[in-house]
Amino acid sequence: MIILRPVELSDISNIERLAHESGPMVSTLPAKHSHLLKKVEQSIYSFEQDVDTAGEESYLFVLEETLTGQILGTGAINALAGNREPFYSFRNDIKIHSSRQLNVHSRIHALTLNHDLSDHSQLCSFYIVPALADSLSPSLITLGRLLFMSVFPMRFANEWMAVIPGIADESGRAPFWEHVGRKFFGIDYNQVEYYNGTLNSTFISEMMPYHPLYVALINEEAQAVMGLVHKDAALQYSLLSEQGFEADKYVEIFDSGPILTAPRNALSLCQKVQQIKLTNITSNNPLQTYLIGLAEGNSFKACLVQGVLQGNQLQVSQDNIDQLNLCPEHRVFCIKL
Amino acid sequence: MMFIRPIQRQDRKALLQLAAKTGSGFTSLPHNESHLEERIERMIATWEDTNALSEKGYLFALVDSETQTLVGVSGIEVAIGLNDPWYDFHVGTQVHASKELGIYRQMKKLSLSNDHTGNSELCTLFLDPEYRMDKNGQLLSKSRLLFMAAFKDKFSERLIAEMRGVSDENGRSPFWESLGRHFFTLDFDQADYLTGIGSKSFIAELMPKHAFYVDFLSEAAQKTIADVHPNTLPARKILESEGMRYEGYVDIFDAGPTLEAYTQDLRIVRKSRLRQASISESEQLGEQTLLIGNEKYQDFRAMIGNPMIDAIHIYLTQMQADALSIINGEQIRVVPLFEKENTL
Repeated sequence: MIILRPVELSDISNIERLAHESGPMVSTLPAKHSHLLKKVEQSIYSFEQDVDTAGEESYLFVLEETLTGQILGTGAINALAGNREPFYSFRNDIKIHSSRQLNVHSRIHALTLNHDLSDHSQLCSFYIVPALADSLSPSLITLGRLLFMSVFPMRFANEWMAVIPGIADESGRAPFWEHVGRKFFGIDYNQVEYYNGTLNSTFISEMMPYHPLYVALINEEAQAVMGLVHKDAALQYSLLSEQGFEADKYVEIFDSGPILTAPRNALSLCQKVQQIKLTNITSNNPLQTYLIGLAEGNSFKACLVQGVLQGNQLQVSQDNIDQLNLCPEHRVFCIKL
Repeated sequence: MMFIRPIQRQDRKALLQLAAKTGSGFTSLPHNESHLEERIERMIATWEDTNALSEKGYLFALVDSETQTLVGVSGIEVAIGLNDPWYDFHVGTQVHASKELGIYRQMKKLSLSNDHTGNSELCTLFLDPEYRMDKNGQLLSKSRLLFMAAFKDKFSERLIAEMRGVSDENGRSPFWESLGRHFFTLDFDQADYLTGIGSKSFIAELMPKHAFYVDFLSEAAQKTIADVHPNTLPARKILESEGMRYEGYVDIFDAGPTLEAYTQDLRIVRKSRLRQASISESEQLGEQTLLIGNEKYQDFRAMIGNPMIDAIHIYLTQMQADALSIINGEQIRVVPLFEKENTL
């Protein structure tokens, strides 16, 4: 059985291996031991805390095949995207330039460096091994995290967001970076993404433009990729979009990938999730796939099961029930995929 | 003999003909009769002191005394930007540096400014192509500075001059193509014309309000910043030799440089001297080429000549005295025409 569970210290070498595989596209999962160790420790600490308002917590989940103990993916949540330091993005503002005398009324787009999203809770560090990319496992990582967030709402802000990787080719050339960021930094895209994953964001305020950048003045190759999604991130994008996340006016500052945002209450998962009891299967109705989340105290794990929902009872196989190590303290939540 | 005098109402037709000979990039003398007529009236009102400071301006005519034809004009605005805002781009520097990353970068940026509000401006210099010889351009341009030297109180303490920027034979300005066009769906020529008839501030309202980085303009556009049109190079050289210089401001449409100076620092203001006119039948030649003007505000005249000069007198012929509209014994302001000549 594949489950999504909080990271443990013993996972560190496995995560490091995944971080190497994921490459620079997942800047929030940099392949640097000291950094990953800190991230794991921070997650363990965060789960232990009783939290009544979102703060410095950061939760890291791993996807585990329980039979073999293999780690197959990761996904994290920062309770606040910008807790100790601002979270920067570009906001695509519209400036109205108008003149009655000349009978002109034009809408001018300009990208403004901002930290508006600092108070959002952020989904990040998503990675799945390529072999599972076409399975339901990516859904488990992403929707499992949303389920966790909806079961523990006081640990998070009311507004959630996720940065989706933008366009870059295999050699690490990102057109937006080439025509925008490089002018300010003079370094390669991979290099800046590494800095972004490992350094304090002060360097962004030092290096990035604080005047709005007029979109019309940006090279057309870069304009053309603004808000576009990297092909490897298309699934992430559609999973979140289906839940009600929207790419509105924010883009990532280095590759201009879209930033999806949503108020918690607008998300389909948060509206439909229900608390249930797991029981042995008796119904002959066709089985359907459910995402279930098990909360006990501050801990949480999620998995996908086949079952039949009747009222507040989700009927699943005895095998499943055994694998989940249910105890009476568990609160169980489910949502149909 | 060529001389300078204030523009007059009767110059209207001649001015219109002259305006027809200007090309693209010459904003302040549009071929538009009612506009030129208004301009003349505004100039006359200035000499008569019947208009507001924001309206004041002078326009001088270069006249061929033999034919009494008007072959060139040059002007001074007394205080710009007091009615409609005066816009230009300030070329500034922004440093982006991070100790942590070991990166230090200087970036040029342009920001819209009204920094020249209230300054006096040299403007509208145009010389009939057939008369582009014999120092006529020098006379047209520099006689304005001689007028300012004589009547300093009429002007602001700072003087600017906008130099025409780079455009090709089709009137395409690389700077406009790279910047202005994105904000405004007009050709450079049209924008230029609207500017000439006083709509510049309307256009400026549509231009970028936020500073922007020069690196985002096309390379062709970047190269033209603070560069002048080849035809304007002589005019630039003249003004630079008189003490004006580029101080980091450029035109918002074609990025031509704005030359600047404190009025009191202008060579002609510092170096011009007064002499008493001594009129004689025979011409007495001196060693230097001089810019010569009378001290009459309403009936200002100026010319170039090589008359003999001493510590008290300047020796003029009757013809020269007539052109300068003076009689024997009147005060004359005089300065070497060129910077490199001996001082008086």
